[in-house]
Amino acid sequence: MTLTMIERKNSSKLLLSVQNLKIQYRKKNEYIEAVEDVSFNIDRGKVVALVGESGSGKTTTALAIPNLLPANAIIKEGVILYKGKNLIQATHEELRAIRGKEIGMVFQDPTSFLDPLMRVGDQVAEVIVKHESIKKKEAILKAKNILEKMRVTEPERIYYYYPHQLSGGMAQRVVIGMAIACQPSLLIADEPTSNLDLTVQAQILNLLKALNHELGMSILLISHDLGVVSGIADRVVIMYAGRIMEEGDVHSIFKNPRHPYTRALLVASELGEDMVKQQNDFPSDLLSSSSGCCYRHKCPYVMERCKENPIEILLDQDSRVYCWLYSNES
Amino acid sequence: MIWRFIIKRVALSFITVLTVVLLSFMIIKLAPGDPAVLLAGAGATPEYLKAVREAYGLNLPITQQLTIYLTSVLTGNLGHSITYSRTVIDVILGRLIPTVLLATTSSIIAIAGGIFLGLFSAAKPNSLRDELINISSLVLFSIPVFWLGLFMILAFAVNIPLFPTGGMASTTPPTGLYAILDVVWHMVLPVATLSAVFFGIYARLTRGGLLQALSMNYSVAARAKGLSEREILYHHALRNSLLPIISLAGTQINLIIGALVLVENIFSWPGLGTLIVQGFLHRDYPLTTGLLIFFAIITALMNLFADILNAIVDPRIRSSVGE
Amino acid sequence: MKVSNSPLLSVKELVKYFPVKRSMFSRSVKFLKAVDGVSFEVWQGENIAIVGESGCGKTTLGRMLCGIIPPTKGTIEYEGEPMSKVDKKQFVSVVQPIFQDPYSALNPVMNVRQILSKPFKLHDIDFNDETLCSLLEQVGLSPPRSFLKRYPHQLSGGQRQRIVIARALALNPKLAVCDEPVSGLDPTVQILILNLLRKFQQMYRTTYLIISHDIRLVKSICQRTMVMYLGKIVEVGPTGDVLQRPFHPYTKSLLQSFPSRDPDDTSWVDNPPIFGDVPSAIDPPSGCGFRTRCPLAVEECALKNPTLTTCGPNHYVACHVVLDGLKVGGSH
Repeated sequence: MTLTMIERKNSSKLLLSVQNLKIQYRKKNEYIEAVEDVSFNIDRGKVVALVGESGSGKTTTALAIPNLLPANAIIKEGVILYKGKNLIQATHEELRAIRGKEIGMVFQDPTSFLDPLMRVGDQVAEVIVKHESIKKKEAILKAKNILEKMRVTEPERIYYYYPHQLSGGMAQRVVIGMAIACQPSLLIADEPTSNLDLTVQAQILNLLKALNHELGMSILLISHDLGVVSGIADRVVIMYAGRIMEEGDVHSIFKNPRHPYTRALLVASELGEDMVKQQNDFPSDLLSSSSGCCYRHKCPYVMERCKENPIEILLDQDSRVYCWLYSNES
Repeated sequence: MIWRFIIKRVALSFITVLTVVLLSFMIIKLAPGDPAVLLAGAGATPEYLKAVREAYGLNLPITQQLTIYLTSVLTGNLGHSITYSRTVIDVILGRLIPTVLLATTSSIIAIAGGIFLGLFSAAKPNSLRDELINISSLVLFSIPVFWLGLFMILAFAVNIPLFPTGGMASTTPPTGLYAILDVVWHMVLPVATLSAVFFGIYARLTRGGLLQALSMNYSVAARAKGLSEREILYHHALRNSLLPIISLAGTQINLIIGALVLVENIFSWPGLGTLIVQGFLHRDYPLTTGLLIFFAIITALMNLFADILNAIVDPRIRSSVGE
Repeated sequence: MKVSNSPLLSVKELVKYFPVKRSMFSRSVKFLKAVDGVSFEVWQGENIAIVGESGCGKTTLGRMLCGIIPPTKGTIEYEGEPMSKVDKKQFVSVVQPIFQDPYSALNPVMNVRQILSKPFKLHDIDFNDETLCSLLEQVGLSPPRSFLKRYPHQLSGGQRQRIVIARALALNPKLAVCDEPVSGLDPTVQILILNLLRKFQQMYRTTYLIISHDIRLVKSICQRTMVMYLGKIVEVGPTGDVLQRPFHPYTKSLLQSFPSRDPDDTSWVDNPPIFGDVPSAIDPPSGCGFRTRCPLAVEECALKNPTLTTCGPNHYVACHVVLDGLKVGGSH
């Protein structure tokens, strides 16, 4: 279906390609769809943002890439091609070799992602020892070096701190250090600045941007905040209820949003007054009926055709939207 | 500073022990009957009773009696045992080694075995081996100690005479290295009984702690680093799940003492557990209160040890008590 | 719109120190100076915002204003009456809290009916399911009857926040202290909650004191803005002035850190205005608290405590360097 897009890409530039991903969660004997027919690409050196609200499946999609999904999640369909290799079919050993080495991960609420009983520097050194055949001593030196690159003040001292002694911003620098210690080609950052202060958020995003520019690291940024996205992303993928609504260049998403949901998100991100009239805030999972556009219950432009599943509509060079409003344009 | 923490804990333990000493003094004072009559015998003359009172300081005001009692306890003088006509300290020390041998061996086996089985269980949750370990742990800690002890004797000493029914050594003990083996041979059943009870608790606690630790975000981060489940288990989850186990081990010492008394009596083990029962049977108040104080000190020390160990393992405890 | 002669809320020299216990044997007890000498007034109908980052004392301040924690020093007056003298029952109809994290704000073992009937019972006001249903409808939960029997865990984040608002506004208080009322909610839900707050203001003339780090929220609902840093007010003035012509270097940095929402203007990421974290409120820097991160800091800043001084109409700033600059500028 979306293979057209992949073919268009120069394959040497392509780092990651997610194709027709479908993921379900098992709850007792029920199956809940979390991600449905999600496809997108990440080129080398690019920052791609997956944007959506809670229940949109953005985090599930991100965790599926290095296969870190919880045990009750099942990948029903799809291909995750990383440097030409399908990660869904990779063995445990192959995945472990890729995690931390090829794909690094950064999370929301960084302090909880650090082992409370281990010195933070050792947690950075741990990943180096794991993937690079060097001695512990060298790994410690390297870890201190990385902390310094993460702009941790006094890395020599902070190395020996325990997680509870760090502020949120400092903990996030350590977690980013852990993620990039082995210079991965892809960094997945799941809401990396969500609970941080504004000034700290700007610093952390600046750091991520520097990693992208200086090391050419590709970043998959997961966020609910279009503001954060505007400052760092090259491409934006908008998700709602487990499906992609729209994808495009950051400029086209912000300057020329097509999908009604993208527009609603943009207005909401300004907290402006000219909000499109909205219905109740039902949790989106209640509405993910098996057919039809999942946004039609909230959409101000809803029409009869929306009961059918929207198809992918390619708009221009490389943006696409899943909305019947644009069926004539293609 | 860890030292400040230790000093604080030692002070608290000291207060605990002091409270027990005070309570034991009160128990003696509240016990029915005149201790002087007890000492002098039923048919003693009033003059003799008076002499006894003066000799033992029973005529002094109660506060003065308390100070004397406290100072003597603090200097290690727990009085004279009536049945053994030796100092209580001597009697206790004479019986100490068998008890320490039994208690430490059982505790080590219970904790080490429990942690090992917990690890084994948590490595493959909900597998057959996990279920088997779970069920047997549950069964083990639901069985009363005395029943298990008697069962052990009937099964492995009477019906299948592999081990002796009781005691710590054969009536004619062998010499040299064989003496040690003889004691070990006698220890098997009581140690098995005592550790079986606590084994289950540690196994379940370890399993629960490990599974929780494995579901924490830091384990997710460890997976994202490329560590294997085994590495996560040993490098991160185990240490984190040890914290509640250490605390439990410290607070369980009194339960162990309770079980110890039963097990020693079932297996006629010549330790403090049999001694305290004899003390009660012969109304040997100095001996029983002495043992009470002694057990209180042991309990306080073990709790202290557990707290210090916890502070060593957990940096959050250390820094909460001072920079 | 001044209805009475005294302000709705008047705060004078408010201080809150939390003792930080170091250990049993250390003699020197240190204090976390959460709020360190804050004075301001709120008039009926004039929404006020308290802006700042975590650790600036804004949440502590909100809690003191709601009578949840007592101040260490200073006075809080409602309509000219010291808070301690306001009758407890009456107090609830003067101030109501709407706090962050609606999940912990609601008792998990009480259903919506029980939660909403509490304020009525407290005041011996007659109510029935109809009353509660109309309240639910006002906060946009429909059909209302289906919500009465639900428990907090059966509601979404936005629905929980609506219940919190319904409970707070049930007795239509004069002042609602909202601590981060929309943070943690999805963007499209945030706007619904904001609209709800606006609606209530029009209907019941409730005044809001909004505690937030979210400048968008402040801009859209508050007439006056106070900026706090390390327990002190560093700048206060009409929202438009403070946000468009900020004087204090901290206000400037805060505004510069705010995401532009414009992919062509990424200066907020590319040149973060300040580095490092907020210093500890246990050992704050001498003089001006911001001087350790301030791009304008001079020697004087470490020696003298800056005080709020007028820098425009109703606009006050606490910064030596800026004020000196104004004097020089003014003499020309």
